[in-house]
Amino acid sequence: MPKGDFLGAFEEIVLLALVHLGDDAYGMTIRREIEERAKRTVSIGAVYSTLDRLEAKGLVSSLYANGSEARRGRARRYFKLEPEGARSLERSREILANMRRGLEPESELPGS
Amino acid sequence: MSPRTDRHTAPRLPELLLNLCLAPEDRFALTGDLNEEYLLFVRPARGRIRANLWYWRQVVTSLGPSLGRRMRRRPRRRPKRPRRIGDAMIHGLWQDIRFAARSLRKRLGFTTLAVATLALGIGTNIAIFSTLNPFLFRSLPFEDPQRLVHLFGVIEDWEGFGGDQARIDHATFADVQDQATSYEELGAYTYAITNITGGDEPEHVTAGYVTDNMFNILGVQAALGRRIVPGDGEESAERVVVLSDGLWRRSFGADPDIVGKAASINKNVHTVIGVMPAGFNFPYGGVRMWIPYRIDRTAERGQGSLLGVGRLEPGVSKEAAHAEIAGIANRLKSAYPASNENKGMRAVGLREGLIFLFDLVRLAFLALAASVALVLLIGCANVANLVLAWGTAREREIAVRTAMGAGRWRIIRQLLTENALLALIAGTLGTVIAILAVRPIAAVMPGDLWRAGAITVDGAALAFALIISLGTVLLFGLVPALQTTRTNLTDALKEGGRSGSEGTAGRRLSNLLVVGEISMAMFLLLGAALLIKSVDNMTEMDIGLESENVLTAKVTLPRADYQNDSDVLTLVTNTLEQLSAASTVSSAAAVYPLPMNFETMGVGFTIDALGEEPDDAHLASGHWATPDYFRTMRIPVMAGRGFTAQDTENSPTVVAVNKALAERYWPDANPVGQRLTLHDPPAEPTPATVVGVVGDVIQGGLYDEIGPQVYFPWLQDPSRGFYLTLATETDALDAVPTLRGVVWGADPTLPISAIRSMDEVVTEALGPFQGMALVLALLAGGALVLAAGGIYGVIAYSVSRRIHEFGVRTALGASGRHVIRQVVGQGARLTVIGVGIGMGLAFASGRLVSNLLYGIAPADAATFIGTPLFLTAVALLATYIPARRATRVDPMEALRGE
Repeated sequence: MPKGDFLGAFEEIVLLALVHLGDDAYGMTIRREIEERAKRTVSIGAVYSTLDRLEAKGLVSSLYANGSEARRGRARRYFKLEPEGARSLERSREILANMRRGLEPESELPGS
Repeated sequence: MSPRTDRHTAPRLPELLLNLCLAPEDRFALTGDLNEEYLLFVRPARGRIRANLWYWRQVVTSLGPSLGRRMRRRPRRRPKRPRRIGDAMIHGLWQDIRFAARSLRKRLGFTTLAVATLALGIGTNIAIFSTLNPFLFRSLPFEDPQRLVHLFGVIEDWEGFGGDQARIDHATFADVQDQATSYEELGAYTYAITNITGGDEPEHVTAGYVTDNMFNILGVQAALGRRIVPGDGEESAERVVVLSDGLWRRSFGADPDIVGKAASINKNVHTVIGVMPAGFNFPYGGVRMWIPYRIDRTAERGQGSLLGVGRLEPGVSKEAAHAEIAGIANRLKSAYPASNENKGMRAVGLREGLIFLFDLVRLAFLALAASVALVLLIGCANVANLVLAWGTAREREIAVRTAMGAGRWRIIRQLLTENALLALIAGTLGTVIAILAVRPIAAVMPGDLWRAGAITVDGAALAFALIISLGTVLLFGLVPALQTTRTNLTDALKEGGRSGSEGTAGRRLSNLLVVGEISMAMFLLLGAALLIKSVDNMTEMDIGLESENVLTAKVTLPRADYQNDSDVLTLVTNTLEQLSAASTVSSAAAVYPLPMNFETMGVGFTIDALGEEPDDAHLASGHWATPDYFRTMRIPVMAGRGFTAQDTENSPTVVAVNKALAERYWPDANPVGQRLTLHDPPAEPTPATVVGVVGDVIQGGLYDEIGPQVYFPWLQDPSRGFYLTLATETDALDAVPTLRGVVWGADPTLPISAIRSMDEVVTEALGPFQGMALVLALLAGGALVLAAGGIYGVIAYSVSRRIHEFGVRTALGASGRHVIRQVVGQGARLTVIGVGIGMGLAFASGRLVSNLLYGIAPADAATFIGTPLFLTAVALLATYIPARRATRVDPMEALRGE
């Protein structure tokens, strides 16, 4: 992973949504997944903007597939988590864990 | 709100808004997502109104990120754009130019070679144009110049040096003024060397003697003071003079108060009334001041001194003026048969009239211009071949563009833009070359030749540069562009595009170009060879005298001081005696005119023994010489004697004749003692006895055939202008102080001018021809190099395209010699055809240049055999080099390369 490139909070959320969705990750499902789990409203534009950035970093890839009738035939753009994306999620989790260590309310004080 | 909600579609308006903000490639996926969610989840769950609100909210909140994304993406994409050729080609000229510049920069070797070739070609053309412009093209610096004509006399049946031109006598000119109706105004001029004092030192200055209406006719004004005006020529008028800018600066220190001051000209005081502007020259650059002159209608008819300039009435053509003056000449012939027999008159344009030997000058200039144009053509052919070769190499590129939708004309336009850019760069460089070249050229152009303004690269030359630069584009660029774009798309795009197959049409074209180049080079080489041989003939020819260690100088005795012939004789006899006595001088003599100095005097004579009448008079050139002249110039006296001090005014008239005259008229008799009669109207015919026969001497121009020459004892008929000639023991110029000392010892006011060794006189006579031969030789050399380069390029390219074929041949057992024979054979065919055409052209145009040649036929056999052999050898050598390369092809290498 590129040095010093921390994942933004929303980037991490989008990547985690991809993990949840697996093969069914495209614009609409990703947006809905985030809305359902995070319980907050997300604009489709923001989702695409973030996905684009992640793709440019090489964390996700995308490909177009045929559209459905409800889309009036417009193509779906499916997104897939790349190994690099998975690694960066893992790293991010470690960083956050490391940062939080010792700050948990129930944590034992050293030597106690 | 959409009115069509019942049909379960998402609202259109927000979608439209969103599309405006999205990059095209994002639109489908994103709006598709919104549509899908709207229809499948939001609408069924929330109802129409809340679903639409939801939709709007999605769109509005997506606008910001979408726009941001679009902005971010742009810089990433931009560098890719130019690679999409179809895209770049759609746009305008500026893109074409930038594309062309990039394309040329990518092929730096090609560009350098092409630009250098064209720049040299264009540069020489501009330089020659700039040189010829003041003589042949630039409009005359006179008012309404197309209405000005020049009048001169003609001696019929006489083709001397300078053609048949002659001067018109005063009485005849007065008749013309009375009878001619074609002219608004008609004036005359003559010029002569004068002695002027009043400036810094006494000196010889050539003065133009002009009728007082002359400046009016020409329509010129003085820069300082006033010009000569009608009335200044009246007998009672004050003697006045107008100075040239050059004389005013050189001899009068550019005195701003010169007007009103006095100058002594031939011992007569003249008042300076004006100074002409710097560029003014009339009738030629050597004339440095102008003095009013009067036509003396009572003068005797005969020897003429005048030339005329007239301003035609509006609407009268030069042809009409010429017809009129020819008619007047005919009437005068019958009215005055004694003096005007054989005398015609001619009216020509002023430019033609003012330029000495206009026909010869124009011929030489045009030959020069044609030669440089040919070199440029050869250069263009070379560049065309380069472009063509590159065009073949670019077949794929062009095919790709065509496949992507670029039309043929679109591609031709692109290729032409490239070529135009090339030509403009070359044109700019060429102009620089011309500016640098013009100065030395101007320095060697004869200053006495009349010209309109200076030799410079002016606006006209720049326009000419632009025209020929763009003209070369059509010459070297258009045909290859048409050729290259006629490519078969599928063939060119096929992977690997079989490199053995050179388009037949392309090959035919480049062969044609090479044949053209070789024929033009052949033509130029033949011309140069003929001219060089001709100059060689001139240099090696027997002039008839020995010019080594002979000093010459011109002396003119003012009539005011030397009124009687006896005064002249005393001075000259004493001077020659003293000079002969000087230690370094072996002999001294006076002569008029000096041989090979572009001066001749005509003399009519009849042979008494043949019983000829005056009407049968033959023309000879006349020469006046003192006793030691033949010894000084080492002209052999072949029979009889030379002149002696006893041949004086009081002794019977005697002459010496040249060998040619003696052989023509007394082939079987002893010429010595024969009698002839001299005719020089208005003087009475004079009987004379031949006392000697001397060798033939080339007197006038080097290319004249030696005709009859008659020598007179100068002591018997002295002139006030003459040349002193000294045979010296050491270098001729060592005797200059002696000459000055003796002459100034006799009369300190006498100006001595034109001090030259006889060698210099001869060289000056040869100069223009040598210069011309040198220039032509350089041009022909350039043409040879270019043509050899051209054939080398074509053969080398063809070999490189056929590497595969040669590999196969060698693999199948063809020997190196066989391959060489094949390749050289290809070059030899082109060479032979080109040489043949060039020889044909040279042969056909031979008659045009025969006037420039001396002692050699325009179809000289040796030249027509040797030069083609030389060119063929060079061309074959140029094809041999790539042929050798063809034999070194490693068969395996060549086959693998496919």
